[in-house]
Amino acid sequence: MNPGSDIGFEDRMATVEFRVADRPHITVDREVCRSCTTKACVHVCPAGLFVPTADGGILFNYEQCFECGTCYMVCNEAGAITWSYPEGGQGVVMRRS
Amino acid sequence: MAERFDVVVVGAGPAGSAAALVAARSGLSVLLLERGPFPGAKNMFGGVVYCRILDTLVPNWWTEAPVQRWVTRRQTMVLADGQALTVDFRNQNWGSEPYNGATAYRAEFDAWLASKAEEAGATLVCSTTATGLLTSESGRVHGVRTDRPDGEVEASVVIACDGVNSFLAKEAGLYPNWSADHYTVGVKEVLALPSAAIEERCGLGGDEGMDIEILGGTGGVPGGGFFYTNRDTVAVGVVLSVAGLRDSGRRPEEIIADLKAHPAIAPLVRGGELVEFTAHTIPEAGLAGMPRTVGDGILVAGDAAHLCLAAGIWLEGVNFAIGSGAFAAETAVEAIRAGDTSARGLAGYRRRMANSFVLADHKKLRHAPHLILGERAQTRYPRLICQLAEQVFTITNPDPKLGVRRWARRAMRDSGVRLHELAKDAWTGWRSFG
Amino acid sequence: MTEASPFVAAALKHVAVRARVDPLTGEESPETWGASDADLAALEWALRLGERWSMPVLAITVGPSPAETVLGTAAAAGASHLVRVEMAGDAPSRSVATALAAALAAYPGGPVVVCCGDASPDRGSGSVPAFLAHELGATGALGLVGIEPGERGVLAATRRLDRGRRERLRVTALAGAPAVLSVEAAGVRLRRAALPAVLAARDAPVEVIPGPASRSEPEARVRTVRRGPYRPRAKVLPAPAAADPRARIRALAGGRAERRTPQALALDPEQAADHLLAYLRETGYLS
Ligand SMILES: Cc1cc2nc3c(=O)[nH]c(=O)nc-3n(C[C@H](O)[C@H](O)[C@H](O)COP(=O)(O)OP(=O)(O)OC[C@H]3O[C@@H](n4cnc5c(N)ncnc54)[C@H](O)[C@@H]3O)c2cc1C
Ligand code: SF4
Ligand code: SF4
Repeated sequence: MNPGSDIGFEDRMATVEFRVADRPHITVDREVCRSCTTKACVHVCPAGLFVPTADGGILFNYEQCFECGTCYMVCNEAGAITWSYPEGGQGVVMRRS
Repeated sequence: MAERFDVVVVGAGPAGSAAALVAARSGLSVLLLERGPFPGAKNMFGGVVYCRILDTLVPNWWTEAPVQRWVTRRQTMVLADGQALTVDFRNQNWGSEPYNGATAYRAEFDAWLASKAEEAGATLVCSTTATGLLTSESGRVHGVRTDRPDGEVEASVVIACDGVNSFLAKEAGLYPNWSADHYTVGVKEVLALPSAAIEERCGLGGDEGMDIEILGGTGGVPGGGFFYTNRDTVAVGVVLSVAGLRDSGRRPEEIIADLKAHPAIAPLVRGGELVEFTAHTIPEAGLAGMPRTVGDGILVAGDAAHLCLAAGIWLEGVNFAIGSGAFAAETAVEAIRAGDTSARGLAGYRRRMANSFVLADHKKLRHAPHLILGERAQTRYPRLICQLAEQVFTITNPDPKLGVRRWARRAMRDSGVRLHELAKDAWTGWRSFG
Repeated sequence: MTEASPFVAAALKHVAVRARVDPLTGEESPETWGASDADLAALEWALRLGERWSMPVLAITVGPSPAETVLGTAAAAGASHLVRVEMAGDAPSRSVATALAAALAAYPGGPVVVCCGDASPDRGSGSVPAFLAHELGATGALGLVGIEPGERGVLAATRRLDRGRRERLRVTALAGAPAVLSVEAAGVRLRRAALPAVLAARDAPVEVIPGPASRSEPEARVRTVRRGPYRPRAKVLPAPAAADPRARIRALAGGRAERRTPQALALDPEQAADHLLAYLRETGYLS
């Protein structure tokens, strides 16, 4: 473990308010991801929302997303990520940043 | 029937609120759309607003703006493994009227600025995402679509202040050269500490603040770090090249953890309890990443226009956003009065920006992003600088001191810096920063 | 209302829906104000009943002027009448219910159904709907998770009971013999307001009614005198099997039972995992 990473990732994410919309604002096409060699989304996503599965695919959760855009910028395969903003009023709410 | 306004401003960040304020003050009907539940909810930054630009828009803004601390101490810190060299500038004048920079929370600052636009007569509607442009067959923008039922709004001019991901500018075809290489991602932790501890650790008086821009310290990923003081929290984080992070295989929070563990930073953050963890991307390529900012019926301002100055010792965007937003609104007012809101009628926007710091600073610093994010500036120069300092300050008795020239040669050899590269970079740096 | 028509009401509370808790002192500082999800669900049900029965919907809140923001939300979503009863934000449930009842009963046309959220998130007891039903002389159907509007004044409601059971209720209500429904934040979300409605709601007028004078606090017959710390309930354990009473007591008290001293082990991850698994098996958590 890293020195200074004194807090678990879930506790870290629990410091942020997320208003969860009914519909996901980002969708990931698992079929496309299967052929991806970098899986860069997994380590770049600050919220850690991309999880590799044993069969070479990707499991994605939209609920705790910062809406930053890093994932679509690094994505290795065209068409894997469909990215938009959540419905107005939903999603991340930052207070002290 | 769709609603109709003279001007629709998308995004109530600093650019949008400044645009709405200026347009509304000129007597136009203005709709200011924000997708967050309140202005600022979606926005994060390092921490310092430079508000000189507000002097004309909101006179005496310092008496009412929600400020955390007035920055009276600025440091630029160069980090290498276990070493740090700091330039520390303190200026007590910045701690009194008319002030220079202040730390702030965006949730408070953006909401305040938006309230100023509302006072000027703009209609602010939150919790509403603009999902697209209304465009005529000729490609002329005449409004926006939102994600509410009956959500279309007609406008003579749309000002896109929708931030770094600007889907509106992309939809209008203004970003032909878009590239992920033009972006960095900022990730930060806000740590709660008693205000007395902050003041003691940073050597500050009651409402004074400190900001540190950090070169190096990002584990080889091109970027930099920052540390800012708020009233009873400190912000510590990193800004990382998106492409560099992609290639590094490292997690952002691990890079922050390493930065926090550096002996130069650790004493500042020790015992701080995490109260918010956030991330946001930054347009960081300067002029090279800039889109076209004028189209038929549309103007682009702030981060949406890539107008953020991120060049090592500077990390400024809010002031550029406010400046460009105000210019966009002035241009829209002029064009609407003249009855021509085509790209030609709106061309004055570019000229207004060129005559001010908004474009001038970017022109001057156009080579800086490349220099700062390059491998040499990121790893070799910090090593060089710190090694040089180490040799100068390490007493090697009984051996005599070597003298600066030989120290420098040795430090360059050890840090892998070549003289001709150094000369070239120095020249670029001189032209940019000098 | 121009011609006094019976109406459906939604009672909404302006409340801190998210608070930050200081981990050291336990002190709470409110962060997000608004109506709770349960209140918003109540509003949605009220709007659906109003639509089905062709009745206007009245949104009412009790509190100081910032509470009017929840009425704005209601107006944008389709409530046609907005009422705020002026009162301190922290008034006790009983007084809130009395003020609500008085305002609703006096409103021209009279309420047919009043929808409320079941319990407010600021540690509410959920007693306002019950008090309100009492004050209005209304039928109460509390803790609902679903409502199906039927003929005018008739509805079917679903209530969640303990242990996963459900109860179906049929409620009949009239102006003059209204029903109070409290709903959980389940099943529905408030509809998304149309943009023109959001713009129009900004100027929607709010009627402000003075609340009952504070001295006329109704005398509660049950009052909380002291609150102790949380104590978990006693757990029922089967009696030990031994025949000898002393052995049974010893077994209960854990005397002479084999006890392991805690140990700290430094193992590499694989060994550590094996060790944990072995321990869990040994103690019967894994088979
Ligand atoms: C880590 C980090 C550190 C920084 N540090 C500093 C600093 O110390 N000092 C400084 O001056 N600058 C700093 N910046 C830069 C600064 O934050 C930005 O340049 C500035 O916020 C740009 O303002 P803006 O109004 O253009 O965009 P934003 O502030 O991004 O505002 C855009 C607004 O538009 C809204 N929006 C977006 N899309 C839509 C849509 N479709 N419909 C409706 N609304 C929409 C968003 O919710 C948001 O409110 C930093 C940035 C980062 C990420
Ligand atoms: S980088 Fe893109 S294609 Fe590759 S796994 Fe991630 S989302 Fe899928
Ligand atoms: S937008 Fe940012 S936080 Fe959300 S999934 Fe993508 S990388 Fe992760």
